[in-house]
Amino acid sequence: MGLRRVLPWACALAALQLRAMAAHAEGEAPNGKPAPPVEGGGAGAAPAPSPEDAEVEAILASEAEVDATRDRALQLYGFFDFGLQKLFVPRSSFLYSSIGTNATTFMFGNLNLFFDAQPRDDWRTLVELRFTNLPHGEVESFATPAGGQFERIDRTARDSTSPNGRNRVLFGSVIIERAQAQWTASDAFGVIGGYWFTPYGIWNLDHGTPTLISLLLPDSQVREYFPLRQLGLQALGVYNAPPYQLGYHVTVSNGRTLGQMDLDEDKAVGARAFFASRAGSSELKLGVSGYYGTYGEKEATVTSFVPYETRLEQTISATEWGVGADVSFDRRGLRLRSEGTVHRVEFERGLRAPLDFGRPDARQPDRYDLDAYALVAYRFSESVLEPFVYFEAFHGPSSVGDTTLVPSAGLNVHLAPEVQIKTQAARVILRNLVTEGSAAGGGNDFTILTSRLVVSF
Amino acid sequence: MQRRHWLKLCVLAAAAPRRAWAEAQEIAVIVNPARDEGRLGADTLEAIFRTEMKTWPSGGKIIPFNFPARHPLRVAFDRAVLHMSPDEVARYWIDRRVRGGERPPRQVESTELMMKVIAKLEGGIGYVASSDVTDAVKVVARVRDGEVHAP
Repeated sequence: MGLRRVLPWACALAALQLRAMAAHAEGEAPNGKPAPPVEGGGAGAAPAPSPEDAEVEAILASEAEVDATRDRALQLYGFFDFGLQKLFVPRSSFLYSSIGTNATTFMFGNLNLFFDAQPRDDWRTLVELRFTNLPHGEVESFATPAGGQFERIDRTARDSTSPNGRNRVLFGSVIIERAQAQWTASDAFGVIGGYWFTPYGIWNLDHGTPTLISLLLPDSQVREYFPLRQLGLQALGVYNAPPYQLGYHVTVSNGRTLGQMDLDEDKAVGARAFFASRAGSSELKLGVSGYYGTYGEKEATVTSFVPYETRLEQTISATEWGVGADVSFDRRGLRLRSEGTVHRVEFERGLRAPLDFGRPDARQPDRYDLDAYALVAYRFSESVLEPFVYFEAFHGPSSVGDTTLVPSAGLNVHLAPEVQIKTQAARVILRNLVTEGSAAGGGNDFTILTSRLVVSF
Repeated sequence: MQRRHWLKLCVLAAAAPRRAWAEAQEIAVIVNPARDEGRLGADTLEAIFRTEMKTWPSGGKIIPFNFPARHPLRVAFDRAVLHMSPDEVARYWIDRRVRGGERPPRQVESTELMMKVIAKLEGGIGYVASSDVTDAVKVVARVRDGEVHAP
């Protein structure tokens, strides 16, 4: 059917819609149900409501057109992203053999599901799970002159439950992003218990591809200047004096642990304070965060079988702290984000952690890690396009240079509130600016092109 | 070229009057008559309908109610109070969900139901067309010409 034939029909439909609106202006409900809003999605059985909830439900349930169980029920929502990526790493760089390829590749990024239940007004549980095929395919070790073997993790298994029994399946993993229960006494005070995202900076709270502007993570996230997640308690609250808001988080946790248990009584502590101000379509938010903790390892040795005796020995002992500051500013289509983070690690004499990718006897030095980035994005009015530029600099001991610069630019296309295509190009420049005896003179610099289709549901 | 004109006309015919109607309509922000609050400013309304402010200044839990996302009153209210278009509002709540933030206000689909829940619930706050206001509720602000005014 030609467009000329369709358009008059479309106009007729638009006119009908206007009539429906006119009827509504006279007090009638609009015809047909509006498109389901993104903000209230969810399904499931409603838990026992509080007396106040019961009152609301009683009123709402009396109206046939309202799904009375909707807000109190377990809500299930999430996001998914997949994309295309290409690296340009010099073949002469040792990074090339570490990564293994420069080939263009499709990537399965995130499949995150949120289970959000609010059984009572003052209680809420939130579980976020990420489903992934990792660690399938990861290189676990390289062949070495000392006889080490190259090993790649294989997470496939023969499907003995299938009728022919010979096909193979890939079994994935579930990453617990967070699992927390929250009790809220008032705006000014609430407590979260469980496994939660450390409240620091901008990135760690945004954390998901639908919310983050840049696809590339800053070094403070990659190398966890603050632990990204902690197991423990968090008190939080805000003081509202519109248009201003002052908020805090105070945390006590196991801190960074090698296993599930804290091996000592020195609990990690942290805090965050933020100030937000809003004026019309402008919003400014400033935050400062801090963290202090210890971590270590204890190794058990069987010293005698008869009688059975063991010896427990501390092999790693470190004290660390981190501080960060962040600022975000939004005005209409403009979004500015910046944060800076400092991380300090000190080891006890003789109790240093082993060095990743180093000789077996190599040990980590005491160190400062510093990271700062700035991001400017602009969403054109009435447009789906949001270009952005991002620049990051970070510093810390590394075999590829003590300082890394990451100039980057990208374009996010907002096809719908729930659907984005995100693209980004970045140049990673590795230099030794402080350390004597350069191991990096530009030969390891590389470029990343990456993209993701992100769908929220 | 002719096709473009047709398309533009259709879009304008469908969208412009809807927005004009919603903006021309005065909206009354209503609370339960038992509440002490006499008037609420634009900033307070924004904090309430972003579910950042959950406790009334005079005490008690705030229970905000919205109309569904594409309801003309909702669109006009969000533009004036939250300074956001429907798409921006949708993105805002997606972002809040990913961050693990508070849930959005509950939704009711009709003016009659909005009036009923606000009249019944001491902590309730919502909005209706000014012409639909009765003595069963108390007006604490008015939205007119895209701005929040005193009642």
